[in-house]
Amino acid sequence: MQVQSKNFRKTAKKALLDADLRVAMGRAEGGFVDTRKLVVEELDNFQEYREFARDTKNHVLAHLDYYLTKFESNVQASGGQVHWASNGEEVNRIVVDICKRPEIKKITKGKSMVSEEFALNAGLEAADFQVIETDLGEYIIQLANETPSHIIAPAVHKTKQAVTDLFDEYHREAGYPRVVERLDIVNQARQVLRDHFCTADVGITGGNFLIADTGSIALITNEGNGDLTANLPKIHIVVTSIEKVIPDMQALGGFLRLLGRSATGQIMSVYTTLFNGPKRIDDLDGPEEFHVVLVDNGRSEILGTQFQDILRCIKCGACMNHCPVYTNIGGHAYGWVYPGPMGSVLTPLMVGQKNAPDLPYACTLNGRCKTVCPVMIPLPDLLRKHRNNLVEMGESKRFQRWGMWVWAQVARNPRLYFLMTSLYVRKLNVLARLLLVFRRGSFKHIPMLGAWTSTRDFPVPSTATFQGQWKKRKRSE
Amino acid sequence: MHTRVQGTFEGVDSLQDVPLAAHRYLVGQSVSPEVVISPSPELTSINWKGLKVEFRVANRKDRSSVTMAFAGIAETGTLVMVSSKQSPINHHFLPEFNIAVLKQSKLVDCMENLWPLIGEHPRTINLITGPSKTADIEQTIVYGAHGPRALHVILVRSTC
Ligand code: SF4
Repeated sequence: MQVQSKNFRKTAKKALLDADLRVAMGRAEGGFVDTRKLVVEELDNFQEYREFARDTKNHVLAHLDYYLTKFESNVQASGGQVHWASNGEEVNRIVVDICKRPEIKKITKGKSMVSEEFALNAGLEAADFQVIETDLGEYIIQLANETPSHIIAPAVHKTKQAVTDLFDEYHREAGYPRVVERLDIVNQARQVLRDHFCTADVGITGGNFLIADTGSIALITNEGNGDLTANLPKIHIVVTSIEKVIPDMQALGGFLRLLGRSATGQIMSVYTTLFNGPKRIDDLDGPEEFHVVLVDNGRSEILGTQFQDILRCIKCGACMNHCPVYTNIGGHAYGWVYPGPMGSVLTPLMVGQKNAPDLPYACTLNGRCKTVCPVMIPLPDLLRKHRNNLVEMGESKRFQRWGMWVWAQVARNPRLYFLMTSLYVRKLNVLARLLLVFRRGSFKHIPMLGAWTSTRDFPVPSTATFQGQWKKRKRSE
Repeated sequence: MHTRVQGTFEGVDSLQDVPLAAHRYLVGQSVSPEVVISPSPELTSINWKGLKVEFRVANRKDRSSVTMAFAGIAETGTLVMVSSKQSPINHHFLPEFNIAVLKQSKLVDCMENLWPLIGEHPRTINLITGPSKTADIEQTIVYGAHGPRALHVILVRSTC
């Protein structure tokens, strides 16, 4: 996927003014948050599982070569083939090579965020294969020629109306009626995709966990599209990344307790499948070939750096669901595959800080993401590290550096700080009265803070500063 | 737990009671009592009178399937399916209605106690928790996305 993160300021602004996006995000907002809260509170030792998951991932990351080699030999022992890809081009080449046979025309695909990193679909289409995304959300955005805007709900930015129009446009020719109701929309997708499932030659899925001890891939879905993709065609290819390996089956249970709850507020997702090699000789169904493509694509470079913690991420999406920036601007504004807090940490590492200079600032440092993250990634701290690095690299704007310097001088001197802040709030109040720019206690516009007030109101501050009020209260006591 | 995840559930005394329960369930869903059944010894040995049955792999024309669960996980209401020549994978995903037979003696309390029972891994281990669903249209749940629209568990109490 092309990196557009450099334009963050522009795309974020555009997103804030997009009425359809606001409707879609408004409908989705809260849903994930509330259901997650309920099921998390129900599990007494959620915190213990978080610590377990953090420690397990840290351990594996410290011995990644050992666990990956073990995983590889166990996949081979069960009859599968492992391919190592250090970057996106290699993945595309490997997958095209596997598929290049005269009888192979159609490829179904289960959701795989990793494959979005290097536009695998485009690569396959360029090699003349027909590629069909089968997760409903992914299918919708494939028709719309868009990219996912959330790592587990890729079409969260689409309204129902938009899907109705899209299906009408693409399915009408095959004789399907226009569908308006949610159930009818899902049914129509079910029918259309059934044809593809049953006629596909190759199925490509992602993987959520790689179990070193058994050489299994754990894949988690709710729709069941992953299993139909994996088992109906003759060839099953898993495209997944190296940091997803965990030691053994005993560890899997802990991660599953965290993942369903954190992602969608489910005690367990509907389908958790462990794939091990191709069909056995006397099995009645299943693929004849099983390939695992292990993708690095920059991850090993993050190992051992101050950002290593981000490699623990299990892609649950909780951080973005709880992020006030993400829930207002949606995923596309972030300009690359991964949005929200985890995206703001990961994107600069994977595409270069210079190509995503604004992402570390797309954060209010409110800390909710860190509180909900099931593997305890200190997201705001990592964003702060990015900011530090950007300043040290001289990548921040001169105006910003100058402002920080002034602020530091003022803040170091308590008297000066008190004087300046009380002057500023008084000035704001007088200004408000003079210009009559405020309504119902908020400003519609503030000079020099236009970026804030163009999309939201700013409350009129009280006439006294916090320090002033504090002193006054002390005195009256 | 299984009903909490939107599956339906009933208990019977022995394997011999399964055909009647399955028949009743399908008729209740207004589906004709024709099923494709996993060729496991437990299921092939039953007298399926009243139902039209076939023991083979499911295809897209089959509306209903009957499968034999390897185990059940009480903590999450999860069915455990282990693929083999007696248990084809497609039975769990292609038909619209899936009836799963689970022996009570095969219930484990949590996943950690399941793994030691499985031994060497087959092609797939399917942990199934409720019917297929999606929330991809405006985050509202709709059942029957790609897999079965309904999942009915028949729990067999007897040990034999
Ligand atoms: S950073 Fe944490 S909360 Fe965010 S997606 Fe990754 S695991 Fe989930």
